[in-house]
Amino acid sequence: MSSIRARLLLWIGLPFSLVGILTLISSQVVLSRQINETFDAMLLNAAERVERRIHSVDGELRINMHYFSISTLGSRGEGKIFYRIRDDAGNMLAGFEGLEGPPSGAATPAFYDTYYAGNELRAVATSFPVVRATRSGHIEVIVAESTEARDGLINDFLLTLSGLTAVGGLLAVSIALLAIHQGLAPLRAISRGLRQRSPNDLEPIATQVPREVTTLVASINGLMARMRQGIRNTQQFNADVSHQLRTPVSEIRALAELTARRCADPALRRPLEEIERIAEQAGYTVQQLLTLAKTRHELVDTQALVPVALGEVCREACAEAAARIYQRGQELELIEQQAGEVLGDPVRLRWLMQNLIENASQHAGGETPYRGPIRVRVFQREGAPALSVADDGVGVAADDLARLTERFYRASPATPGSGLGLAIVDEVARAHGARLDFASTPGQGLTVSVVFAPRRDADAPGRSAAG
Amino acid sequence: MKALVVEDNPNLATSIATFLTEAGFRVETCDDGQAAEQWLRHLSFDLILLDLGLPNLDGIHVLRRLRARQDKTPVLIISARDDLDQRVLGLEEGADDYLGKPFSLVEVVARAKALVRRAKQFGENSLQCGGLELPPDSPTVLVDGEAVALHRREREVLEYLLINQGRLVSKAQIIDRLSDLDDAITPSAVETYISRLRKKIGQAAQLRTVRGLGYLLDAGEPRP
Repeated sequence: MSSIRARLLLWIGLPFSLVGILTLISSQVVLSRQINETFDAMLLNAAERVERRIHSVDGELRINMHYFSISTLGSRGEGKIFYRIRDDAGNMLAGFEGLEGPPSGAATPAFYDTYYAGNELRAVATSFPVVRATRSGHIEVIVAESTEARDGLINDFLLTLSGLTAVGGLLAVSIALLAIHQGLAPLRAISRGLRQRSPNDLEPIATQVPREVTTLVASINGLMARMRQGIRNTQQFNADVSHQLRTPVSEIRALAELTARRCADPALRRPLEEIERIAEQAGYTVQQLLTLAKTRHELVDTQALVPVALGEVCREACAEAAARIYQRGQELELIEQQAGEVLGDPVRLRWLMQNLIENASQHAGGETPYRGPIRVRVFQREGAPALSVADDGVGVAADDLARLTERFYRASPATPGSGLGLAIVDEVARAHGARLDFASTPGQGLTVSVVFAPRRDADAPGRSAAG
Repeated sequence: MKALVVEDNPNLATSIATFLTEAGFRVETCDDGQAAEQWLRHLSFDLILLDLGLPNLDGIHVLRRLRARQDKTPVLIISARDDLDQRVLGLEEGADDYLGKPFSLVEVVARAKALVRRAKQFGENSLQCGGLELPPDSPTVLVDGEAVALHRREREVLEYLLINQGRLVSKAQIIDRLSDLDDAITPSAVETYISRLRKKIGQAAQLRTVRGLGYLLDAGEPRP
């Protein structure tokens, strides 16, 4: 049973149904008895009234059935009445001869069930002394009534009762559902709060919660704290390693450069220059690893974000990259439209830009060095601040687009680069709640766009609590 | 030109010193923050290359005390702490440029020269870039050795570009530099000067327009 709602519903609904069924059964027993007793009393009453109709004619007992009607509860038309009146000698006075008498030895009046002419009957047999003029004797009267009427009445009662029980039950279930809904509201509020969080928010849940879920919330908070600590440890380790590697790599690079400069032997110069190139590459990777360690989006403090003008970030990053880009025989272009501000971390946003430009510069050419334009655009897309970096290079196959942000993924292993640039871009974008879009036509270049969330002024990002 | 290299890693210090010496600097090296601070109190240099992680006294403090003494010697920070926060801090404390480790020695020399050039922009040395040479106080520029006459404004623009060669110079920076109270320069005037200059210098150096950003002067011959 995976749903709390179903569980509660079952444990409320099952006892309620049992109580309902028990009520119905006991009602049926009590009602049938009551109705039967009442009907029997009426039947007896009808039998007793026969006495007044008896008179004697010439010493013979006669019965005047004119204007006589046996009226019972059931004689509303649907019931059938049979009777048999005999004197103590067994002579029929009136009625149906074939109507069966009571079982022998029964007390009088005797009630019994019988069957006559295709009808289920309830009968009463009674006898009373009759004294008319000279004659005295006993008269035996049997009045039988078909059971349809009493059965119909019982059924009517039971039907009404069942209906009432069903309505009551449905009402109870609705109330229970409402109560469950209300009772589960705090849980829903917590899950909504967690869902609405920015993905980098590992802060504890700070909302007031009902006593019953404090343990759960405490466990979630504990888990988040451990995750945060884990990420922090990894990040710190990564940063430490990068930092420790940086100085030796610098030394190797400087010494290789120095030795190559002084070396007159071309056979030695080649490997020295190779060492220098490798050290440069390693240095770049170490640097990017350090940057990546610092951009883990889970750790960006959403409270510390400030309004950043996108245009300015792009201008600065372009200015910083321009000389390098032109040295490589590439061109740089900034197309700046009104984009507005985003709430962000200016340092990391600049890393994002630098890495996007560097990525285009290093990889647009595929296997060969790229010679062409790199266009940086700042603009608005559907009201949201956005930026893009486009090149006219070899582009990326559709299948590979999704892999671009993987760490250490490189479209062509021959090209330089750390394989971390777009991973850094991805981390920074995610930390800012921005969407990363790749569009490429193979042979015609790649465009990477970063679309930020539209900035609502009164909207502080991040922890919007639960609810 | 005298340079002080403050770097506690002997391999790096030696390499940098060697390259700077070959580039025409007279170089002193120092491997301790406290010692560097003492040297700088008593000696003057044309350029300081400063590591940040130093024994005894952090590079940032050395820089801070230097600037507190109103000493305007150009400072190039070379540091393993290459995150943007440190870079910003260094530049805020008065450093003129910042280079993260690992770096290329050629790059160190280029930046060192650029810093000295900018510090001595009114000095007696010619400004050079590729086949261009702009002698001080001369109304002409030497393009591959041939004298070409320059308008006063053209000369000012070229001088500014030469001082900042290898860096992006925005139109706003040029306007800011050239305008004075009674003679404001318009953006279109800058464009005119640039296009005239481009014709005059030909292929002696690369004067590039970076769309949306500004201009970039360098020696040309892009690296393969």
